Amino acid sequence: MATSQANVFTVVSKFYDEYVTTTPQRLKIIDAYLAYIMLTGIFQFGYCLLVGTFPFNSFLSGFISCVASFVLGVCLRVQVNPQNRKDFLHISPERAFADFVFAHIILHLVVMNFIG
Amino acid sequence: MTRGTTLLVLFALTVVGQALTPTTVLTTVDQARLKAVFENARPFTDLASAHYSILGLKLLGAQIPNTHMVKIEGECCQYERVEDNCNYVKSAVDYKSPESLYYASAATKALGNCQLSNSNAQNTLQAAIKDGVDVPTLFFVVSALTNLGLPVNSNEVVNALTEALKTDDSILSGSMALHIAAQLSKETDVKVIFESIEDLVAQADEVGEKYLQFEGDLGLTSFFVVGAYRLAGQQNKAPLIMEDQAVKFANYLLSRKHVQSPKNAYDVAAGLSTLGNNKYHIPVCITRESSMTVSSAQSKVQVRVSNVMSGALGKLTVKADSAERKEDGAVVLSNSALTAVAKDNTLYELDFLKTKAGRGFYTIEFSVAADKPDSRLIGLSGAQVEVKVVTTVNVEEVELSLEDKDQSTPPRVTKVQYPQKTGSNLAGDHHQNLVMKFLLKDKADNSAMEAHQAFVRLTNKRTKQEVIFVAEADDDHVYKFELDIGASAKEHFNSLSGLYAMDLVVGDALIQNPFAWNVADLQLKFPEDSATSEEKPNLYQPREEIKHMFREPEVRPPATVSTAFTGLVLLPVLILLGLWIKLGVNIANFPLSLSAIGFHIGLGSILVLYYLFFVQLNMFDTLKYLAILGTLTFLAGNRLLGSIANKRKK
Repeated sequence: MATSQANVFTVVSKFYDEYVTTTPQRLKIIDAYLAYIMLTGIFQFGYCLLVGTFPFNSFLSGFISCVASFVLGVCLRVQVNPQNRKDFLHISPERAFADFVFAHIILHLVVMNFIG
Repeated sequence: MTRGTTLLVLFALTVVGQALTPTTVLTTVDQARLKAVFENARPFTDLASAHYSILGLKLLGAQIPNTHMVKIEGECCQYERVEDNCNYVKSAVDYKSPESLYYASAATKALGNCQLSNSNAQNTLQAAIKDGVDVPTLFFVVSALTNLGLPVNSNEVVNALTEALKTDDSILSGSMALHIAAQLSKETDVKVIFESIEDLVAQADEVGEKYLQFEGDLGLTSFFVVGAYRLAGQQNKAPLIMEDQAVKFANYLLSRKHVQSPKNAYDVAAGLSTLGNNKYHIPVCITRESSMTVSSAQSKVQVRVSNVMSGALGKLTVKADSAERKEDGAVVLSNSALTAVAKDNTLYELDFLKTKAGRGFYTIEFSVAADKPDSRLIGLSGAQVEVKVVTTVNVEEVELSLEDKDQSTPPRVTKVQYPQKTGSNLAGDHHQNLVMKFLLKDKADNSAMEAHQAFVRLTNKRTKQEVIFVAEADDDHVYKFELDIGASAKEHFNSLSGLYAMDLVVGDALIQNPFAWNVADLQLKFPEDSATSEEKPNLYQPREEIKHMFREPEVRPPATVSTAFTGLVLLPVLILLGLWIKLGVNIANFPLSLSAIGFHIGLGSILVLYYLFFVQLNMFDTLKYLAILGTLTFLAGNRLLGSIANKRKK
């Protein structure tokens, strides 16, 4: 029992160390952003579970905004990651960022419309 | 051709067999109504309706009202008496139109002491007979000339008429030709026109073997009938109209007697008047005058025998050929003569109860013969009249009994005599059957009979609810009513125990004294457990008022909870900023170039725009501003990112 716990703990700490050392700073910034988005989404969902779905459209727009932002962030991270350069030869990081910003503009327009 | 058709006609007559007789008659009430139609045509609106009104009243033998009150123009409620008819006709006539002269001349002739300007009329009328004149114009011209007493050139007219008829074979023109020919001098050869009567009749449409008409047009049919008999009278020859056809024409005109306009009323009156008095065919009408019911109080059946205008036909012998009962076809009389009623020379009566006919519906068939033989009379046989003979009913041998279902004790029988009631209330409960027997007897011959309605009605004395059962008769006409109190409790009585009034209801079309007789009061007791203690809610009382409930607002969490969560949701922003600072986000490298500042300001302004969209703007305005801001931001961002990319490449 103690060994499996120890195993899990060592795996996690090892992963954390490797993450801190290996990951470029740019990606860490994006990861922090993604963590923020996820927290916001979790808090929103928890609130909905607590007090009910009224008004439903507001809950949906807020939650889906979080989900979509997370997805766009993941896309940006994937496209900007130098290790994936081979898969995205024709998309420069600046281009990825521009797509990210453009998608967000449209997303937020729709969210503001739906939030009521 | 004429011999052939005559043979065919005779053949058809023999095949048909039963003679036809008019269905109804133009009663004095009908004639009064037609008179009212004519009188109500005043004040006259046009010459034609004046013409029909005046001629119609004259035809029905009524006084033509001469003056009436006319409102004075402009002044309220002031009237003056106006000498009407003649002045109106003289002012309304158009001396240049033959049609107008026709209407006016007929009206003045009927009025008697009215004169048109003959010279003016003559000029127009005689000029109208020229080459290529059509039949209607000829009709108006000849009629007007004759009415005004002016000379008519018969030969010229006949030639023009024959010429016009070659191209015009409508029924109206054919009928007009008859009228024209009847007004020419006796020497004129109008044989062709006279024989056209037969062809015209052949074009008439028969409806249901009872009616004969032209194109469903009352005016056309009446015009033809009047013209045909007028010409026949002038030529002293019988028109080639068969008796049956004459009767069918009469039936059609009689069927249209409920008309409302002066023209239609005149058509009815003129047609029937011709058929009521001409030299060849006078249909005889037989209609029932007395009430349909024949009873011991009024045993005489009275019929009116007259012409179609309810006019007398002289001394007649009227016989009832047969009287047949509808139910079983029994013939109760044959060949009985009717006696004339003293005060009215068209009424004849027959004492029907002398035939000792029992109750029932009877069809009596009559035949008529004139004391002085008159070949004009047609429709002398086959007239039918319906009467019903009623009787008084007695109810006898009424027995009420309550039997135990298991037959353990003998039933108690109570005898009741109509119209009394049982002395004491009968009591029954769900173990028993209620049985009632009775016999209906015809008072006239003391025979047992059945009635259409023989019901037993039980009324709950408290709630007034009724249950009605049917009593059935067996082969000996003994009525029996049986009620299983236990079985019928739920279905009929709603298991309501209590005092019930029992009535026997008897009725029939042939009974003079239908009755509802309270035979007894019953105390009925139903099994308790199946009783519905509350009564059925009365469906016809006002119901509870339904209060409208407005839509209640949704349940919201208290304000503190939502505020707390708002704060909680904004917390991750702080966490993000903390993380970024810890990671060492590089803000120092911010290029202070136009595109950089422009890009960031553009993005910021878009977010501000979204906030404004949330609070105030609508989608269209937002899109408009977004387009502008988006373009600027795009340009700036493009420049900025491009420069960053170049810098990176370098």
